[in-house]
Amino acid sequence: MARMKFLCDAERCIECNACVTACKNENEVPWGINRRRVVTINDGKPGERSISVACMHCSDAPCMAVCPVDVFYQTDEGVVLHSKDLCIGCGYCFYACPFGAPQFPQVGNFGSRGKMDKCTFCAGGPETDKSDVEFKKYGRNRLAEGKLPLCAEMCSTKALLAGDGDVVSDIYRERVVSRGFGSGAWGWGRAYPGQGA
Amino acid sequence: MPGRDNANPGRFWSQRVLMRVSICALGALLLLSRPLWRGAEFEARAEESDAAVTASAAKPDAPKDASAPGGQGDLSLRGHGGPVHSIKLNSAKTRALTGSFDYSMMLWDLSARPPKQIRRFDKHDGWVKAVALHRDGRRALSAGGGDVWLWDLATGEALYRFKGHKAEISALALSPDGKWAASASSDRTVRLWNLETRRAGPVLKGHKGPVNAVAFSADGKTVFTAGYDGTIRSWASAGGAFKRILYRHGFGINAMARLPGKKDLLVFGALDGRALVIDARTGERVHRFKALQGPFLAIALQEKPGLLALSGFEKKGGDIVGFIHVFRLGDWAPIEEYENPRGPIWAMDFGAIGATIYYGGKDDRVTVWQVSPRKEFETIAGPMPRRFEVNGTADQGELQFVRKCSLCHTLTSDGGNRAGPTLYRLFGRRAGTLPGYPYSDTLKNADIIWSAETIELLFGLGPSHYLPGTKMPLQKISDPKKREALIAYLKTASDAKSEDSSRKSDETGKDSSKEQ
Repeated sequence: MARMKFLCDAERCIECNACVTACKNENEVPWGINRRRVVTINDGKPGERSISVACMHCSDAPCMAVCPVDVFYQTDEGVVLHSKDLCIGCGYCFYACPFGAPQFPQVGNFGSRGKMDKCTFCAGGPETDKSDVEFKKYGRNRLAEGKLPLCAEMCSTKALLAGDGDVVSDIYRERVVSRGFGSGAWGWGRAYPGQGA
Repeated sequence: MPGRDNANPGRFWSQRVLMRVSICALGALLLLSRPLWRGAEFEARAEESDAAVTASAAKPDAPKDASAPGGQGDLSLRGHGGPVHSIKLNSAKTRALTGSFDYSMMLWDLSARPPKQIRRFDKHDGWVKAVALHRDGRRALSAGGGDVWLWDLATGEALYRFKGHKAEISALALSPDGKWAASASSDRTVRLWNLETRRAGPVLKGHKGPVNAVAFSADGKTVFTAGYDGTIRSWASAGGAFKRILYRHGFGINAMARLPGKKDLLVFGALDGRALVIDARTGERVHRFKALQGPFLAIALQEKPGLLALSGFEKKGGDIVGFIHVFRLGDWAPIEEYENPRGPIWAMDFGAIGATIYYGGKDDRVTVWQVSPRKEFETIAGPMPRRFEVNGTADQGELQFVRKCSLCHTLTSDGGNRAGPTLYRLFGRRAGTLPGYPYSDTLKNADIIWSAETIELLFGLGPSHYLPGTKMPLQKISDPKKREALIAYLKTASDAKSEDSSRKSDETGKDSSKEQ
């Protein structure tokens, strides 16, 4: 079974935000929530780098560890998903995730956060695969359709890669060899400790 | 330095025997090295300020046995009906305020053995994620959901409810003169509130994400805020004008506090496992603590003898281990470390002039760790996993209850101080009528009798649609079969005759059987 991973090559990202738009459109993510965002470091200065960030579907996901009501689960492919039925909107995952993945719609009653929403690696949720209920709650289940996340599919420079971790790291390794330097695989060390690109 | 060997990950957890031996040795070392950080001022000073709350209180003794529930040596604060998220002690360490997921704040007498609950403040509409004790010792603030509540501690009266935030409040701060309160919210703003005129003050807008921490400068003229956008910002207290971004950390900042003294040094802990001290006047870094693999979650300070504690969690060998690291203020020397096998530590405060730390995690209670002399690691009594973490059960209805309802409701005659009313004898009860429970106006005025049909509607439509204005969180069960199973389970389990059996799947931590 493949182990699904994201990799953003900071040497290639041009901050076009197509991944952000693709995600919002494909999953019909509600207003106020961005499952994916592009972060630019040293904006306008020498050494500027942009990174597309969403849930990294960590090997030892801190969100899973910290949730008081145990809403998270990891699929056989390593994708970290959660049940919105169980989520109480406490925000504990929000304090734990180093990638800023958990999002809250701020529509809960009495100032609660509402149900947590995050990137699903386009793999839906606990509902029946490709059902209407699953789509409404979690967005498109592209993995069940035999496809990969649309954010990576749409990336014009192929900075954002998604898929089998072995394939992704092979592609990245070839790039590093070809261009003679690396260091662009932001977040891999933290998300997948001991499994460097 | 005592305790530092414990910082080596892996060895502590995977080799329990080695750990115990090394901790014993370290404990002995600490005893020998006590003069290094325990000066004359370390001795308890019960006469310190807060006269109003210390008048009748005795100096707390060192804990004897924190693991014996209900015993004389048990210093744990037991009584909340949900995990504890905020803890504040008065400076004499005789009183504690705690805020919990159970929608309440509690006031405790720490000089009693075991500590005694003085009062429960249960009017909040949401989780109490922050509490603050006013310098006059008579008033307190709590953040319940999106509102700030001002309380009279002696009478339990809600003096005022400050409304304005559009989302939950994560942190509270009081100005040094006690006239202003500041609340940081996940609506990306910080609001100032005048406690004398009881009017809303300036709204500090600018953070690009939820604001997680707030503090006043030593002179009260500046407000410092920190949040998910990874920035620490400064604002003028008068008028609320934005001054500047003091520090850009990049990763979200979970906790921040101003250190004692007039220098306006800020300590903060972030999502990326880094904690730093910065000078708020210059924005320059003063000290960087050793980076960890998990996030920092809470900060506690003890002015005398000058201690700083940072808490959070790390993953070690497949387990989630909460930690508390204690440092000496000034030279930042590590003093002690503590690991909590029961998970992250979300809130803490120093007790007994730095000798103990009261902390809250996943449990419904506040636990006490004896910092000095260091208490050996011991198993803490209590059911794990918690009642709401169970996955496997043959009964689908019971599973629905345990995972979705039991965080806030019991099935027994004792409501267990949980956020919601007990479901004991639910069927046939008119909504909003259980004596003693602080219902929302919606429930008080609802013309509903609880039955299979009305419960079906509640979870089919969702509480916020079926009963707009209810305090109940957004819980919807979209699968009709699961709703049916839950209702069938509740019919049996909420019945008086089955109280004994339902108790098994509904740990309340109490055996009270008061009738309601």
